[in-house]
Amino acid sequence: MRVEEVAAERAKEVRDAARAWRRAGFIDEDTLSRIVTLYPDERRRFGLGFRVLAFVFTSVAVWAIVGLSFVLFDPRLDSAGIFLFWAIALTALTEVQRGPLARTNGGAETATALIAVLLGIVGGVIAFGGPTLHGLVVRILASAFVLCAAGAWRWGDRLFFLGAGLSGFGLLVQTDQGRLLCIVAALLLIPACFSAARGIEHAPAHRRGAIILGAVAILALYAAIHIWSWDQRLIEGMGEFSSSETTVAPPFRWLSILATALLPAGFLAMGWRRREPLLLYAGLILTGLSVATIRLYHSVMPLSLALILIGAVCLGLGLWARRWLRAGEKGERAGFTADPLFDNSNRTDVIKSVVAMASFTPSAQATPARNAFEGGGGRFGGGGATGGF
Amino acid sequence: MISPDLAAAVNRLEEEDVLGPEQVRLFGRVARGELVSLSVALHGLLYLGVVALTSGVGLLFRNEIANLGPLSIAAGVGAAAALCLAWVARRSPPFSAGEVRSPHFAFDYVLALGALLAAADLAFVEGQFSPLGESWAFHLLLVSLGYAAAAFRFDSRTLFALSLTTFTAWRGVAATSVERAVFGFFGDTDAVRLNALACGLAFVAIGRALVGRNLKAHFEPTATHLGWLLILQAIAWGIDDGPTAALHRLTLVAVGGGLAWFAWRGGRFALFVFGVLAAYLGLMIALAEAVDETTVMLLLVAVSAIALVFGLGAIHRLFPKEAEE
Repeated sequence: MRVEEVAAERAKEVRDAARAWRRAGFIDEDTLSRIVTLYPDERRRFGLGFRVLAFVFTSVAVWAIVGLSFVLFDPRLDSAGIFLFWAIALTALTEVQRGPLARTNGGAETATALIAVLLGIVGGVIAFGGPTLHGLVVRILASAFVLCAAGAWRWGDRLFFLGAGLSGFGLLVQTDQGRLLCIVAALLLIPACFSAARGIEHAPAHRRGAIILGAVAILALYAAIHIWSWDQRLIEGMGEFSSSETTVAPPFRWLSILATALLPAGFLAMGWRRREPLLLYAGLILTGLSVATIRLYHSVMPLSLALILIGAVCLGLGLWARRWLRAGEKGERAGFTADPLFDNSNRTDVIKSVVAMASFTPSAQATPARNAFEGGGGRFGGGGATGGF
Repeated sequence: MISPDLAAAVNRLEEEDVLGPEQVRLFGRVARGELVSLSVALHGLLYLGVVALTSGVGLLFRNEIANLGPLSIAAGVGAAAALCLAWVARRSPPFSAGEVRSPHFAFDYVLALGALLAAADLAFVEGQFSPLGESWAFHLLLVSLGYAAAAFRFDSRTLFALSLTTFTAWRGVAATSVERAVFGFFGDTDAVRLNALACGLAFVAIGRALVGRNLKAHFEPTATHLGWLLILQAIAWGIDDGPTAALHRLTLVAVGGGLAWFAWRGGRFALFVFGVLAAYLGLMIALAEAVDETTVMLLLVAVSAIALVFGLGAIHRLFPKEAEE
């Protein structure tokens, strides 16, 4: 990433946090404006609504121009040249927007970057094997991995990290020892990602990307050790040249059963010890999946009753955990609190409405000033203080 | 937010005398990851609990009738719904026309659970015993009114949104029978489309009335957004359909453009997006119909989209910066 982009991102993190502090009532308007002055925004940005529109219209324009080039110059669709030409042209356009035009979060530069990578993948697939179907999956995954990784490194967009992670593990699955390689890669990647996610030497976009890669690695690890995936030979069946006739190696089955049961608990324990939210969330979700796996093999009760029981347990656990955390000294235990610290989301009302209508998630209630977290540490003092908390 | 950059910035802000020691202590702990909130996880657990419970009850209705009997299932689920709603009624503060702070961490979830269980129970009773007979669709209206009453009494935007969508569903289901009986000249599709349009207009009017009367004014965006989505959808439904297609396209361009204009002037961000997208869709479909040549069409699409991107850049300067971040 460009030095000026990284610097702007670091400043934006501070401004976003300051706005969250203000929304939660921890600082006053004067303090917020002093922080914004100290960490100014030197990039040209759009808000969410404009960003969506700019992304949509830029995508429409780019696809129309690419389509126009196909109509006017009648190139051969089985030739990589035209795809690579447009990939390079759009990469250059993205660079101009992010560099001299100083655009960030503008939607347009995201659209050109995304389409550049997509066309690059098509070009790569054709360039390394022509229009034949032989090895198509491997060529798609290899092109996607290389280009997404390059896009993630250069532009830091989250989608590229996700694409690089998924295609990387997808490539490993294509090998003879896909399952083993997935396990080894995930075990190496998870600690590396969580370490990178907290390293100040990395750009904020790369830190967020490391979290995404870590999440992909966690899912890949669970999928690779899961007993059902083992029994169904899921990983092996995903290989383009694999044979589904391979039998299960019996000595390792019990290990898979043990890992399916213990891995979620391990993530929960690690998440608690390291105070890492993603590991905790992963542990909770995977615990649910492991419980569901038990029912897959042993139908202990009707599904309806099982769901009602799980629902009651979730509600009970949520209420108990909150009460237990709040009963700790200063409303926290081992560095965890049940209360929202700072609401740093910038979701608009429309998103809240759509989410509420699409499911039945109760929307957040208005939080009055200074009620988000009560640390019991006395009263604020110093510049910009707003009273006790 | 865990962020080493923020941790460093907090130290700098302390040196610059912008933040006080207590602020620095709290913000620094959060930025360094020494204090982590589990609020999202706990809310996620409650949400999951409500989803699992309602799904389980849905399956119970379907699979366990033979074992338990419809009456005992209906009574059991009804009792569970009543328990939830009774707890909510006991914990709820008195009615207020303004926004009310949730009295308990689980309040919204128990309210949603109770309302959903009651609605599911009503549907089950209707399915099993058919008390409404031919007018079975009216149970959706009952559910919608029930949701609305609970939404206003307990200040729940979720139930208000559910009330509006259930009302729309009732009109969608009822349209094919009622309107056809009264207005024989309507086809099924026309009836549903006109109902969607009427619902949209009604919701926009409800939104304005809520603000005008200062009654739960914070529900207004929900009603207005859903209303405009229905209006635009009802118009867009006809852009590719029969002799009135051209009129629908023109209407979509005009209504979308008008909505974008008024939303821009009023600073209504989401409505501006709805309006621009609708107008552009109408314009493009109209162009595609008018221009036969693929090359010209692609050129027009590209030029118009690029013009819009630049137009957005120009309009953007007129919106306040705070609204964007």
